[in-house]
Parts: sequence; C-alpha cells; structure tokens
Amino acid sequence: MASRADCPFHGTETVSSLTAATFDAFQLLLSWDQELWEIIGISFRVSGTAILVSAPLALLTGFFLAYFEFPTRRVLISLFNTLLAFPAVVVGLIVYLMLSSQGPLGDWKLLFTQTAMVIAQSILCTPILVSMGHSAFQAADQRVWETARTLGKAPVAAFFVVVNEVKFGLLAALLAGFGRIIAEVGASMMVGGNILHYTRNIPTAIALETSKGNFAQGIALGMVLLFLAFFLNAMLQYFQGRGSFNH
Amino acid sequence: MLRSVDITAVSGQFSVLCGENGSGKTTLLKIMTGLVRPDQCQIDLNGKELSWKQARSHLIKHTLYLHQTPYMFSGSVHHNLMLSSNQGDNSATQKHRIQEVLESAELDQLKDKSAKTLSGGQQQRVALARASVNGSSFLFLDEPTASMDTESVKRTLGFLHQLKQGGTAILACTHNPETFEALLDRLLVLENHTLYEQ
Repeated sequence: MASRADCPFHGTETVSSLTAATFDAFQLLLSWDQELWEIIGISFRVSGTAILVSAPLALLTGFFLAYFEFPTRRVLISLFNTLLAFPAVVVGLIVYLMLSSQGPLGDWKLLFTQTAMVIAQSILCTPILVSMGHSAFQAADQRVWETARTLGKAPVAAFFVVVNEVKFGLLAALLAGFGRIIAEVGASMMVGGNILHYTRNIPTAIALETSKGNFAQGIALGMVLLFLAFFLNAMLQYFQGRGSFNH
Repeated sequence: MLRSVDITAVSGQFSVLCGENGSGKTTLLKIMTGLVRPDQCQIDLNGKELSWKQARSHLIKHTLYLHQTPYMFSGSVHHNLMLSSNQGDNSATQKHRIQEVLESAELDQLKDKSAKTLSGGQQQRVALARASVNGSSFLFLDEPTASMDTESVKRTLGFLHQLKQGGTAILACTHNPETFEALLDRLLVLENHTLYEQ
C-alpha cells in the first residue's frame, strides 16, 4: 500500500516541484515537442470529427422538437435532458461491449481505433447538441418558420432560413459539445486504449503521464485544455450575447 | 372552431375582417395561407377537389400571411427583400424590382439598416414590401396598423393602396375597420364561429 511518504509532492517540495514541472511544461509546448503536439492533434481530430458526425442529426432533432407537435415529443425532450448527465465511462463501457470481439459489431474490428473514439464521443455530445439546439430553435419563435414558409420557401429552404436566424445559438451548442468531449477521459480510455501515436489524446495522456510521475507533460497538456476551456467559454459568451441581441 | 366560412377573393379587392378577440380571425388567416392545418375542410380548385397537402402547396405559392408583429430576418432591409424573392437570384430585373418596391414603400433611405432595429411601423412596411417583392396574389394581414402612430398608419395605408391598385387581393383583420375606410370594398364579420358579410 502506498504511504504518504511515497507521494512525490510533499510539503515545501510541492511548490518547487510544481514550479519546475510547469517550467518544463512551457518548454515542451514552446519547443514544439513532437509527441506532445501529436497528442494535441489527435485530440482535436477525433473530437472535431465526432462533432461533425453528430451535429447534423442532433440539430435536426432539436429543430423537430422545437417546431413540431407529435405524441412522444415531451418524452424525447426529457430523455435528452436526462442523457446530459450520462457518465462518459458508461458510454465507454457500452461502446466497448458493442465493438469488442464478442460484441454484435465485433467483426468491424474498430475497438482501440480513433473511429471507436469518434463513435463514443459522438454519443456523448449528441444530448448536448439536441438539448442546446432545441433551446436555440425555440428561442427563435414560430414566426421565423411561418414567415419563411409564407414567403414561399420549401420546407428545406425554410429550415435553413431558421438555422441562419439562430446560428449563434447553434454555434454555442457546437462549442459546448466540443468542450464536453475533448476533455473527457473515461470513454476515450476504454474504447481507444491510449495507444501512443494513434489513440492517445490529451485527457488519456494526462492520466497516464501523471501515473508515471511525468508531471511536465501532464501540466503542459492540462494547460492546453485550460486554454481551450477559456477560449470556448469566451466564444460561448460572445455567441450567446450575439444570439440574445438578435432576438 | 370555425364553421360556415366561405370567402371569394377578387383581384384588387380590399376586404376587412372583424371579430371579437378569440373569435378565430388569426386561425382563419393562417388556414387560408396554408400555415395551419384545419381539422376538417373541403377545398376545391377550378372544380377539382384537393387534399390538404395539395391545397397547402397552392396556398403557400399564391398567398402571403403577415403577422401582427412581423418577423424581421437578421440583416438589412434590402436583405429581407432579397429573401422574399421567389426567383432568389441577383438578376438585374430582380434588383430593379426591389429598388422599385423600396422607393414606393418609402424605405429607400433605410435599405442598408438592420431590419431588426427599425420601429414597429417601419417593420410593418418592410413586411409589406417583402410581400410586394414576393408577388403573391392574395395578401392576408393580421392587425396591420395595431399600435402604430398616425404617420405610420398613413404611410402603411398608402402602400396598401398601391398594392391594391396593382391587383393584389387583400384581407386585413382588425378591430378598427374605420382605419381602412378609404380602401374598403367588403366588410366581413366573424361571429359565433361563422363568417358573415355586411
């Protein structure tokens, strides 16, 4: 069993060790460390693809939930709101079971690939996109759709007119979804396997490097995530402000 | 519930529809423009009976509904008029048509302004200008002069007069039919779910 004395950061050493690790982290980032930036690249590629894959259907679902009355509408809204709190590890477990060699999709041989990570992250961000997309479309009120239709637009063209009217709300939904999946560790670790140069992304690398005592790389990647969180929040504030101004 | 509703629209005719709050005026207008599906209806076009789906595509194509508070799309007044164009192109004819409408609706000075920032009266004129560019034969207006000042009412009536002269059949629902006295051809009243002509 590990004792307190085994802990690498202890007492006054903590501050100096953290300072040294942070300094090393900056050096790694600024010296364009190939391995570090490769991990960052994988993170952005996988999460960006997951958003692109899930956004069309999720936003369309949000649109239907906002504009059309059908028997299961309220149940679906409640379901997607509940799924917002779906734990990432549970999503990882389900996707793992589906893609494992014993699972129904085992023949596809997708486990421990970036595609498996994209699938898991798409499932994770879908409830956010549906829920926030629904709110954005609902904020536009029924007159947008009716005006577009009465001006002679076909349903598909009218849909894109509505999308243009709520674009800032939809962008906010995309950013929130991206923020959720790029920082999640559970699902990516389970279905990606944390393979170097292939499926190791920022959160799984932080978990691994910390367990190895390689704090500099962990801190450097953490700084990237923190900067990204700040950037996404600033963008969210901007787009939500623009959205409310326009309505 | 609406029953016994029978309206004949004639080109260039201006009709006013009156009725108490909740009598179904807005619903009637939305049904007649294909925006709301009635529970039951029988629709004939040139002696041929149409399903609601067939009728709706005709109604969307030939009629236009204007909300009491019209929705302005993001962008300039000019952009709003472009969006209402059925041709949807940048052809010289279309540009010329939009310019003509902007001038006749007295919106020329406002064409580059954001439509969302205009006053209620100006937005109503933009909505009418959109209708004019759209070229719909039948125009259904929901309380078009509600909460407008005298000057805005005068300008709106002037533009409606031009549309009427151009052959558009217009039906406006209102609580104040006297506002439209100069344009009025027919007065319709919706009472006890039934439409009467006075």
